[in-house]
Amino acid sequence: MIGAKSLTTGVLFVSGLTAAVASGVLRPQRLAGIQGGTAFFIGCFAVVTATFVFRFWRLGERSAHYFRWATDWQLWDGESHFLGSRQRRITVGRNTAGEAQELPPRAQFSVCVILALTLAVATFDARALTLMDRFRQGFEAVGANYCPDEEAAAQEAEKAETNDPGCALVRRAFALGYADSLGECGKKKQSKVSAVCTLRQRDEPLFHYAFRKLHEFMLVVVERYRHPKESKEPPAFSPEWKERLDLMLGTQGQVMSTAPRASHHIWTNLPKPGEDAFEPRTCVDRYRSLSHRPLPPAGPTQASLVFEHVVGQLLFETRYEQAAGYCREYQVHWGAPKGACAKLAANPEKFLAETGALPHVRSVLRRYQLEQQSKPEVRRRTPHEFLSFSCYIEGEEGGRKVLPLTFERLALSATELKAPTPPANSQLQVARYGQIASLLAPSFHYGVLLSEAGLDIGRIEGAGFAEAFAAKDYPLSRLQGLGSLDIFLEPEWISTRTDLLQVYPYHLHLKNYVHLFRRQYLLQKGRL
Amino acid sequence: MITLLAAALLAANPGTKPIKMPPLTERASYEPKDRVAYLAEALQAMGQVKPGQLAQAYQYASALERTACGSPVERLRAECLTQAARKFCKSRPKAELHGCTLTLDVIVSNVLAEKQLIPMEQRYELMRRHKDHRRELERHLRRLQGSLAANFQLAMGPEPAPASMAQAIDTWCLATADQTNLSWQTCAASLVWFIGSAT
Repeated sequence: MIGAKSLTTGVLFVSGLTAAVASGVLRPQRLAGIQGGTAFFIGCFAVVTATFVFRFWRLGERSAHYFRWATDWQLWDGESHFLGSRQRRITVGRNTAGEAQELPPRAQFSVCVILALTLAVATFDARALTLMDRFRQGFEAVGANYCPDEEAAAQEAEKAETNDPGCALVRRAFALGYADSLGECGKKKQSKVSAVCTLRQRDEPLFHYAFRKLHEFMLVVVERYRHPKESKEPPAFSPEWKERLDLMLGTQGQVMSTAPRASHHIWTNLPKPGEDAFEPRTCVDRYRSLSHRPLPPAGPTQASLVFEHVVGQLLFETRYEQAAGYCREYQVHWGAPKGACAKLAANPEKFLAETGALPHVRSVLRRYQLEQQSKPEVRRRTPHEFLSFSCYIEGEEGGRKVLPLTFERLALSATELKAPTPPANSQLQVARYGQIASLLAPSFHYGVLLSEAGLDIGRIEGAGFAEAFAAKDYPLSRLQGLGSLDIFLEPEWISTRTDLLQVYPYHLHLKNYVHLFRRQYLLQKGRL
Repeated sequence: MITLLAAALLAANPGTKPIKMPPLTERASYEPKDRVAYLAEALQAMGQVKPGQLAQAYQYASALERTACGSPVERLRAECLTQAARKFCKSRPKAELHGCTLTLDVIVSNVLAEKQLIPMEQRYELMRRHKDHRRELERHLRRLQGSLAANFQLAMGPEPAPASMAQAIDTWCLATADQTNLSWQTCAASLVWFIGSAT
């Protein structure tokens, strides 16, 4: 025999805890994630709610009814059948004598607190508290939309008038009799006729204000219903519209087909190093991360591999910073004739068609024209920035030359660089870095003041490095000093030391070199 | 001022004067076999030093690097620290001189590599967060060395025999310089310290 209140509390306790455990509310990680403020609120909520429940349900008092597990078919006096069969059933009866088993009041209260705590943990988190706080603020802000106080506004206006520049002096002069009139300062500015304030009046009851707003809304609805707006006729497809539509379609088509945004071409007399060099499908992965130092095997394509490596490092490698260009928009035309740029300048269309560059160039120009027509107000890169033609001719002396050309009524130019072939046993490719960098970005210059090695270069201090690496002790520490030797400035000494070239920290100065190059390059070249 | 400085520097510049280098046989060599032999010796020397002595030598080199040997030029810092290390080892008994030189080389190399291993932003962050920032920097450096050693161990598979450990370090540090952006000397000095002092 158990009291109805105790049974109910027990059932609620077991089911509540089971549900909480099953749904993961009491997981240690979740409990550990509760913030201090939230935990405090949950505790307060649990105590207050549990006290309310305990008091209003009178859980501290005896139950009015009891439940009993009966196995005989005879019921006791005043009992009724509640659940089960005649042999095994639960009966319910009046607990007039108070003989039913009951949980002690403290236990009842504890169960209430635990249940309320579980409920609070399941429902409240930091977000819920924030929302509640926002609701409170919103509720408090309801009264903020009152009509301004007219008297206060008038006083403010008067105060502003008296504070007009120079008026204080005029008033003082008038008061002392030095002036006959106040002049402009005496005139009261005519206040503008303010519109009727429809906000809540200061003495207006809340329900009156609410009704007024509802009435305004109803008036608007009725007005709309009586005088619906006349529907506009669909715009006629005038020739301008059709043209505009074509333009939009063209622009969208360019986007959908990922048409190139730039077209940069380099013609070189070097042979093609392999099928994958500057291959549009694989170039992004190929040039994402390159070795610090180009070390191609000896052979007929050695120079081409170095050229590919240097161009990849200068423009596309993303090890240190964002790439300076999209490799699919760069085309290297291997095995070009030595006078490629001269031919290009003489007859651009023919030469571009012969070398297979014409469709790419036309595609970019088409995109440029479409964008120019659709959004002429947008400032974009000029054709000589997103269209470039360069020639790298190795094995000849001649330096750099700029050849002007006209293509599709655009004034463009082709840059030709003739560079001597480096010695076959050359360990460092510093000269090629400089040549290729100046071909791609003519204004690029790398000097002592730009180097991170500072002014500690062998030329100034004498044979500093030669002396430093002469001694045999402390080799590891000495090698750390190589950081202040910038091979891009002073490659002569170290190029004779093949042993040191193996352990030279290339990344230190290469990073700076690439960074400075890209900064210059992006000032001159880029994408649409 | 800058013009004067530049003029002074140019005046001091030997210009076209050829660099006088000692003959190849007299100067230090960094060929693979020399590197491996040196690393093997350094590993052995590090294993014989007590942790307390190691910490003391590190503190000494680190303090010098911050004060008397502080210079923006890497080579000058390296020169100054090696001079100081020479003086430090001179005071030791003759029998310990060679081991001391090897140990100090590893330590000085690690001190010089600190700026490369812990970038400036990270250094500021550690200094901002921790009261005893030197200790924290030391701990952080040790953690970096540990992770480098773990990478080395994972890449090399079963632990190489002590005799071939130096060879393994040399090969791995050369091969991974492109990926880790760590120079051979920084990588080798870190591994020698961590592995050598742990054995």
